[in-house]
Amino acid sequence: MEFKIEDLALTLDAEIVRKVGPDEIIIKIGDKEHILHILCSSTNEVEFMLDNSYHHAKYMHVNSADMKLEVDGNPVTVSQFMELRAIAKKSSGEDSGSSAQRYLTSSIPGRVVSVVAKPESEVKKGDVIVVLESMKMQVAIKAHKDGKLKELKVKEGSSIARNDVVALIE
Amino acid sequence: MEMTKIRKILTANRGEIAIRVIRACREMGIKSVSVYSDEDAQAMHVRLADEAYHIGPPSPKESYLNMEKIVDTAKKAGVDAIHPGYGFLSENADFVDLCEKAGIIFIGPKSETLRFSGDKMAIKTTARKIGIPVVPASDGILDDVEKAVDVAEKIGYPILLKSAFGGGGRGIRLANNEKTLRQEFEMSTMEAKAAYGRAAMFVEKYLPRIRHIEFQLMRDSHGNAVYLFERECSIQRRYQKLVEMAPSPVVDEKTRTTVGNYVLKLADEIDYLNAGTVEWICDDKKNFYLIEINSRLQVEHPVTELITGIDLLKLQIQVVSGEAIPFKQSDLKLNGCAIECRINAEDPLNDFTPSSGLVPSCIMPNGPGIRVDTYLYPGCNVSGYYDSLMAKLLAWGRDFEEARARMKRALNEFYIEGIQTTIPLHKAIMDDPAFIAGDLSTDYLDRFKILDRVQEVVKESARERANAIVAAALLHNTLIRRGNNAEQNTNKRSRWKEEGRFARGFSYGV
Repeated sequence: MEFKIEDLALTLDAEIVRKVGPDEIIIKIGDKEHILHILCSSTNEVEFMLDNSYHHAKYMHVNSADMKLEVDGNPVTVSQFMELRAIAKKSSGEDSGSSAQRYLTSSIPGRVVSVVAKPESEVKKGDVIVVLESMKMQVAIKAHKDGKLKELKVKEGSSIARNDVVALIE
Repeated sequence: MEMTKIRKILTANRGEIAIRVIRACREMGIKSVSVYSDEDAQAMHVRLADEAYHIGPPSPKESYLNMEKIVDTAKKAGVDAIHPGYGFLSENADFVDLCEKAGIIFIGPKSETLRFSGDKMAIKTTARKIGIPVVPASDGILDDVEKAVDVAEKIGYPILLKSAFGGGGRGIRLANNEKTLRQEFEMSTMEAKAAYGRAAMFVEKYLPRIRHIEFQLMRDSHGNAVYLFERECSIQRRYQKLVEMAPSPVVDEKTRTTVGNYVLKLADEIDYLNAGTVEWICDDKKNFYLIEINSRLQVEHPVTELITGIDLLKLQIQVVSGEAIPFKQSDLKLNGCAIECRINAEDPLNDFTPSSGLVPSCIMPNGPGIRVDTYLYPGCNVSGYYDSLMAKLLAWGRDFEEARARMKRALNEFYIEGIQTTIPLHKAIMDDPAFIAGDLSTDYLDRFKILDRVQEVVKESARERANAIVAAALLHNTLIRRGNNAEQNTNKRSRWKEEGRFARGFSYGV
């Protein structure tokens, strides 16, 4: 299976070669084999020794195309290419995830100090929609795409959490 | 002044500084009292204190800035003194008066000193009078934009526009011409009004490529004063300090004595009491100009503690008890070098966007020469209501090189989950040739494009563990995701199930 480390634009081929013990497997990355010993795992994290070096991985967000994870505390994004998946993604076209893309979400929690954009107005990608206050700093939440601002989900003074929907842009 | 036995202290603050006060109290056999907002019920300063009292909702205005509530709580708890920490009420003269009225000692300067030092113009006038150099600036507080424009014309652009009652870098703006001055004046006035309830501004000449160097001061009620050397605080972003160190690479023994004596002279002139910091800017010809007095114990005070061996917190408490400072200026020796990195909950790769939320796990660095002042613990919450400082990471070494090597080592040990931090930025700084050469100035980050290098630090870190990243992704696909369907949300690990999963993984030929 091919994995692309987005931050490095580096694609590596990896596969499991064989199991050598109850928690130990041989994996192949590129053309090199490595011993991987799993120390413990749960649904969202795993600790392992890779060639006698300790690593800890936490899976933050996973879907069929890519995953966001923190490896030893360092956030990275990895895209996964399986031939079938790549084909499926292509044929399904843009409609996959398009409803999610209508929603503008906030990546940080905070309090809305001002609503800048007007409902029903045309907005351009990068336009400021609302301004949040978080940690005594003012942070602008900007439109993620061009379109019509159909609905504002927040008003001045309201508190919002991470990933809350701020507005609907169509 | 008569001696007062202090038996119990309330800290009107939160986070690492509240913990710092509790630690000093405990070492001196004094009972400690914390206060907390709804947001901080599970915070470390609540857990460590002998007693803790709830004072209101998360919003600072209704909790940590609520003077009456805090003084009432102090009376209820029967404390002898209140330590204000930094920020919040630490430089609020009205709060000091309120404490006094309630018969509670305020651990800090007298209220008239706070009123004076809050007025940057008054300090400069006094300084000029006793022969201490100051930066060319407006003669008084400016209330309207036309006057600001006049002054700017006189002293020449670029100029800095400052809130006379600001501090900690808030409300300072740069203007290169009249048009930006007019815009910024409006903006600053809004900020100052919201933050301090007053709009007073002043205009000061902007000196390019300056260093920010400050001297630690301590003065007792008997009139004894000492300066505990300098801290180099030039590495800043938007006037907020990021890295502090002592000694400064540009301060030699002669300069230290000269500026130190200015500090003592100013302290005597204004009859200063307790700990304070006299801030200077230093131009490329090593001229020092006084800018302000911070009438509180500062964030970066541990830098001084490491190079002098003096516990400033305990000294503060001794001084408010009426004791004399137990050492003389000539007893103080500058020992080695100390560096502090502020670990803020901000993403340096994303325009320093604040990051907050649960910290499922964290591991603090430790070992020779390392000190960490922090409120973090595994499972704690980094609140979006308060400032972003999570930890102060300090390294001490016999010299700069040893301190720097220890800091680099400690930055690598620092592990925190779920929060973006300034750690990658500090890693970039510690390896930067200009930092190593001591070529610092307040525009250091821009001048050497340090933020661009943060990107490289992050990449380097990913490159080093590329195999581990791919292995983790592979494990997720073969082991964890398959497990998910069978046993949702189970965190427990079963050897039997894993055995089965491995077997399946192979038979499906992943």
